Amino acid sequence: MATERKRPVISDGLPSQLPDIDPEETSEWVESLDGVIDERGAKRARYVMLRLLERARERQVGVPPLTTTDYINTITPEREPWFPGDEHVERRIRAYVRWNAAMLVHRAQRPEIGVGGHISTFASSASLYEVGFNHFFRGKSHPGGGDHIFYQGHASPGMYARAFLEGRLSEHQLDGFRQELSHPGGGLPSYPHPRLMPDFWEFPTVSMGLGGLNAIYQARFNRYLQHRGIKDTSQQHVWAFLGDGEMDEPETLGAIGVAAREELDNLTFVINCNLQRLDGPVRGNGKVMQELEAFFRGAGWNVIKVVWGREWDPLLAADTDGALVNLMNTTTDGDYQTYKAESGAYVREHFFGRDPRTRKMVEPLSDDEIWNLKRGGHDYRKLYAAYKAATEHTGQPTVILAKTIKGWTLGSHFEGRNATHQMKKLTLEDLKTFRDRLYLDIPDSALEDNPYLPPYYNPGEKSEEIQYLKERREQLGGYLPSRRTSTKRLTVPARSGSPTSSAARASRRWPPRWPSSACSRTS
Amino acid sequence: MAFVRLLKDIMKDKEFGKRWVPIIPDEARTFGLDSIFPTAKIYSPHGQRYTSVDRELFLSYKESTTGQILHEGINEAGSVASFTAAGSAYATHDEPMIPMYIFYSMFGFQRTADGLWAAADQMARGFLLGATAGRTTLNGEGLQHEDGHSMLIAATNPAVVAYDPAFSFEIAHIMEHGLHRMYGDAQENVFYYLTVYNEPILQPAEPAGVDVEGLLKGIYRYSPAPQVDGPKANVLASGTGMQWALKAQQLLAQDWGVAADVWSVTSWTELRRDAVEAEEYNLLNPGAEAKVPYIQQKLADADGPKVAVSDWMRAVPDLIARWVPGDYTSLGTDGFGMSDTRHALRRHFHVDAESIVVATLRQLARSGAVPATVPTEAAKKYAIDDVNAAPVGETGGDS
Repeated sequence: MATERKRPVISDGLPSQLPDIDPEETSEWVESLDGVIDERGAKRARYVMLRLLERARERQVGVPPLTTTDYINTITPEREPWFPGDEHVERRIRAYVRWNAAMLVHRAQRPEIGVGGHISTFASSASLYEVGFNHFFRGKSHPGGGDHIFYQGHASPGMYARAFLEGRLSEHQLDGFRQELSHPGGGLPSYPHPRLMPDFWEFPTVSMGLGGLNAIYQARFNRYLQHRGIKDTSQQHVWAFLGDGEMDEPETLGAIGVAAREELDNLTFVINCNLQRLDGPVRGNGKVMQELEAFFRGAGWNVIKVVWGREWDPLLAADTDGALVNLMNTTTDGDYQTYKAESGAYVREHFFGRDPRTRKMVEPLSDDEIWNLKRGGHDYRKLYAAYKAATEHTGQPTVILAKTIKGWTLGSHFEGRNATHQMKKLTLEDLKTFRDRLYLDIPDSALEDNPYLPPYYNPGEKSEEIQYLKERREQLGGYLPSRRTSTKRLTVPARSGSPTSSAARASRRWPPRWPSSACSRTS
Repeated sequence: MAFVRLLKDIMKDKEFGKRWVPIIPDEARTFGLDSIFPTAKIYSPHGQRYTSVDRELFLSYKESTTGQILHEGINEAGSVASFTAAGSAYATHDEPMIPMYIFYSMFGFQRTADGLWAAADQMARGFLLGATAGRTTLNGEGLQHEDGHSMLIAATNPAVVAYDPAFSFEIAHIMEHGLHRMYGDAQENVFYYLTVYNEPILQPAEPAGVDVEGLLKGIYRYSPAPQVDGPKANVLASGTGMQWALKAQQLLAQDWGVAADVWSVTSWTELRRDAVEAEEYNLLNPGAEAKVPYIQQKLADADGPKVAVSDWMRAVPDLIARWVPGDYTSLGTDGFGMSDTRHALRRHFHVDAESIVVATLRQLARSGAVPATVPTEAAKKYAIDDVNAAPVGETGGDS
């Protein structure tokens, strides 16, 4: 609950036609700025201006907020909290989930089945979910009532794969992906469909745009229940996982004002910015994260960008003249996408090479090291910091813009490719590369025997990873996704003059009523 | 609006009343729902931090943190999202809540059918009220507002139980039954769509011994034919069309000596669903005794032709055409709406009483029950091709 209000209900703003009551003083200020620009350069002037804006806000001088910030992480390394998990173990879990998610889609492409599925969406968002599952998402048996989580529809294979490691779904059930009628014992729905899997999925999200919209109104309805004294929902958080391409649907963006106005700090959007939509780049000529940041900030949201992984931290720390940030700010999404489909040498030449200062900055790095400069949406520490900040923020909803790679680690046919959304199976070579990348103990022979049916991977109940995963979920209130299936019945009051009572019919009056028991004596 | 009185009453019940969640997209005044503002109050997390301009009026605009009404502004997409959240609270919060979303019927299924489809997936329960239904009833508003087909779109959603009631007592029965189905022991994962109209009519008392089963299943004989010693006929009508059917019944008897039963079809779509289910059963059980669709049972003994009429396009009554025994034809409001008086529009679409009379006589002439010249005579007498010849009807109702 937002008990303390940090923001006024009316958004900040400045009238454009203020009278200048002291022109002389004004021109002194302008000259000072000119002086800084001329003597210390634009970089220094920019810093001073931003600092002044910040100071003005601190001193409660009403200046309009900036709608965008630099193309770097909102949370600086110094402000990152300690990551409480075992990162190594969590990465192993992620590797197993990722392998099984890809395999269940790949196996659903076996001959005579060929029902498809999407591999790349979950590949890009696995870390976004894993950090949530291990540290944030509260299950149904949590004393606070549990969180409401809107999973991105196309990421469904990842949720099934995790449920498999948790022991909630069997290999046989995974093999029933998208075969709800024909698979013996029943299959798994393509996407989150509560009606088709009522004990698992809680919210249908795959009609693009509705997930975000419904999440906003879910968070608002939770508050409504609280305010009306029907249920204490103060410990229940609403998470919505959305795609950057999906944000083009007007339904979601059209409702973000509601969330800000109602101060829904019980709501967090996590937008998986893999920069790609079905056919190509989301904003090839622009920067979708910057555009979304402006929309959300303008609407009154708390915006947290997770752009870069920890590998970039030393480079940014060394960027004393702002050359690197400038490159980051001025590179289009189309180019960022291409970098990730090329190589370290290509990135050195076409990204860092554009400015002699940044070219020099990466001279000590090998091409492999440059290639390993990761995006923030795959970095547990960066994501943990963002989620923690989001859940602790009061008075505003939060949106986390996490930059990722579509088809991450699926190999060169997938990563960043325009057709990756539609790709449903891996070649034998892709399978081997993927296995190596995930360091899985699966022999070549197991992949070569029948490339249509590569094995799932389960390290076993006793393994450190499965023990860890289960312990985390137990701490957080049980497995997710999950939906409550037992429901309370209401006693529908008898209507006075109910059709079952012929005596009452004679004395019928309009309107008929469903009275409380005290009133029913009047009938 | 009769429905509003009903809503106000049921919200008074202490335990049950608090579970209702009225959802309104800025049309409360149109529907007369502003009358619940002062008592139920409009939900706002900020309460009311200003002095309301109408604070001294009896029906003032009252916001409160504990308010019950979700007033969404002009925002059907958001309203459906609220409906979904409230209607699935039985599962997400273990607190059954009963959303009652009332809207301009044109901007319900036509604008947000995808949201309602997702609501069905999420197994939301509750009531949708398509107020201002009918292609000719919201007469002044014209092409973009006049809804002659939301019932057809509603029929495409398997979770929607749709009714087009003609009278308040029908609404009361339907809602009571719906509450039992969704919130009582049955716990069915459906939601209701009721279409209501903004045309003031005299609400009759519930007829003694009304056929409740028929009313709930979709059809019952509301008004038996007058004592006339002539050919038999049947008029099937729903919603506001009932008024035209009842007038046609009079004209048929007085002017042409025809004895017409008037049937209230509370749900074309439920009748179709029942018939389709029977067919499916019969397909799977070819050796067993065939199930007879309810509509077929109900009209088995109804002599004479059947003429259907409503303020919907013909495709709505035609949903049951395959199973209606004997001659069946329908009148309807196919085409774009226009702005004019209700009587002119109904004459234009040929759904008014006079058009029903001519259509019925035509059916009778085809079977030789009346002389072949009679329909022509009637068409001429009523000048059904002239909108200005239509008798002036009811002009009230907010829009």
